[in-house]
Amino acid sequence: MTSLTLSAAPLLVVLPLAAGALTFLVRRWSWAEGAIAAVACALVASLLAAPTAATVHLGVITLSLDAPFVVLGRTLQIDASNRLALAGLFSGAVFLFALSSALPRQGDFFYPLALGMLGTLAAGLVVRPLLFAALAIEVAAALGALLIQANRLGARSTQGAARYLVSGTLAMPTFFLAFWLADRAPTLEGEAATLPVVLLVLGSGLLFGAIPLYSWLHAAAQESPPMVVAAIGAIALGFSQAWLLRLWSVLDWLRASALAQEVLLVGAQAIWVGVALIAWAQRSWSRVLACVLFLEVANALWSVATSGATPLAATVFGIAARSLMLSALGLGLSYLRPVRRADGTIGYACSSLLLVLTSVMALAGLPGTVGFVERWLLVRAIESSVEPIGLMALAGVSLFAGALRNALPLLRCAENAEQAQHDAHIMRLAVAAALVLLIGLGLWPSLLSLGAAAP
Amino acid sequence: MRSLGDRSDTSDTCAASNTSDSSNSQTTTPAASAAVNALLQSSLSVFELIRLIERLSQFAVVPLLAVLVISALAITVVHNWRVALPAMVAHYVAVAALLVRVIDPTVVLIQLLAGGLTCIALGLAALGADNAQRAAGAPSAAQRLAQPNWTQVPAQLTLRALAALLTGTAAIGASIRFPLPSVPPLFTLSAYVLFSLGVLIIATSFEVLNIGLGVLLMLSAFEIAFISLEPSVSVGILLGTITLLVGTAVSFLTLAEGGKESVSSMPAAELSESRA
Repeated sequence: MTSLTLSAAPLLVVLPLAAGALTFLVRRWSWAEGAIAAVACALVASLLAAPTAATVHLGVITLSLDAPFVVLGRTLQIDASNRLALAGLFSGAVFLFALSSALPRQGDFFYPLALGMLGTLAAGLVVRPLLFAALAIEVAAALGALLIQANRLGARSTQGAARYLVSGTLAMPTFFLAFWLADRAPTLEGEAATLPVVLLVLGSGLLFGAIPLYSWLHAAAQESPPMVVAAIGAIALGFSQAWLLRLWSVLDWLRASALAQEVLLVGAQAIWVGVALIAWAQRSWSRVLACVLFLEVANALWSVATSGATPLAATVFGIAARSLMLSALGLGLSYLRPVRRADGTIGYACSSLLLVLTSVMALAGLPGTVGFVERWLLVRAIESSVEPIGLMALAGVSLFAGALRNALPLLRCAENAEQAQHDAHIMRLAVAAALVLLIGLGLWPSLLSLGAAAP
Repeated sequence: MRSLGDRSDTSDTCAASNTSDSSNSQTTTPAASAAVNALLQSSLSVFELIRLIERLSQFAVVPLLAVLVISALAITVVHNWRVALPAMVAHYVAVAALLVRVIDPTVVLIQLLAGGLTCIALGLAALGADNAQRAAGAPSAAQRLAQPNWTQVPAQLTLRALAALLTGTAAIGASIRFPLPSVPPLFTLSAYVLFSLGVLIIATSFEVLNIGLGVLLMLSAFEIAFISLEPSVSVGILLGTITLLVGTAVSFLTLAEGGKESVSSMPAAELSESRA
């Protein structure tokens, strides 16, 4: 029997999109939506993290991981350089969708839009020439805007959605011009590389939400459901990091540019300082969530800037771990809704508070959690300087202080509230699973063995 | 690019085949022949549309550029959808007439349709939002046009017009100082002007609809630059699809903004002032 060899690259796009359509069809059953989305992402992640380098055999079909696939004259191909990053992105999505399936319905369009965004951004990571990734970014920005405001919430989330769309649209021409200039010049060195580098850094900053004056992060976190913010954070930040890593490995002139590295390092440190100064004083969970996202942006920027010193598998672990931590925080905040008890007083479930605090501990990088592993791998890349480590730790502590400040008043009235929630059993199970993942992967990080696919 | 002669040959061939098809269809059932005729008529009208776009492209450069700039200025200065959306339609026609110089007219037609559909979707969403806001006590777009607030409008219009003038001048200067490589000067100028006015709209607008129009202007600038660099069918279709998708997102956000919560969160006076 002759075997059929196919390129795996289109699967990265088609599978999430098909799963998105399927989740829309089964939208009555939240658990089914989450299960379909998680299984689709797990399939892609396991394919990308396969230990053998080139091919995966599925009966008579052989999937070639590095074979190109041409569609409309453009090539889709999984580079060895970004295969791990894609594996991290999809592994993170598995955590996101699996945990969100434990929640009641997120609205008709949460899973289709999130999966559509994931598929489109995956296309941006495998398409050649790089110029066409700009189009994928714009499509994902439109889907992201719809996702943020899919539940038609208040004015702040509309503003956040509009800002996200504008950021994606503003980033598109910067990438377009940078690649255009790079394609025209046979070699980019010294002064000639300055403009493309500035354009790329500016575009990446817009994508990350790292431009402080018109950032979508804060506005989106204000009123959107916590799981939606977690999804945007996990998918968009994961993509941005993978995208920068891809550029870093593909474009020699960008890697050689001292300016690019300096801007990323300074940007990361500026955000750490900002988070350290403001996070402890926040008086609402949405603001704490916004600070969490800013802290993760800084970590991602630092991770990319020091990618020469950090092993690739470690960076990819960071992408997947961030998704897990944000999803766990989103789950905890979604469950943290006031419940009227039998005696008429208002209470909050103890388990959801525990999950929120543990997730914030992980995101702050405190020891014993998965976040500590991510932070430790980042710290190892800093050899000579102590200041960035101090700033990173200070930002983490400030964030945890902010979370404690919001949690303490709720602890006083947490008794018996759990029994009043009608979905208490599912909640307990989901919270336990999230806690096991947050602490288990912190103690045994090798369980998330994405390093198996290292080329 | 296909010449006009090629296009008329194609349409003539099509017309001839239409005639033979019509004679064959007489042997089929009346319903089927009516359907075939309707299909043929619609395909004929498509060819007429393509011809129209080609004729528009034969205009001198200056009128095309004038339509493009005036429509963009109207969208920038007047933050009222009843003025901005017709200006947006004129803008898409001018962009199509510009693009047909470098790309197949059929692809331009797809883009024009995408632009038209986007405008329709935005119009419906704006109407819905307008109704919701009128119910909440804020003046509608038509009322603001019929009875302008003379204490605020002149100052705001003048400010926006001055800002647009300055931005436009900067864009013209930038197109001369930093021309886009391998792009004709007319396309460079159009792209710069549209992009800068798009950014200005985003920076000065409060309503999502106006921000969305700024985003769409920026997308048009991107289209002009990208298609003149790579005049391929796939790029044209991709960009048309993106315009539709962004239009859908903006329409959805406009409807969401028009809901009760967004209106009630802002004093009516502030709302009407920001939209004057």
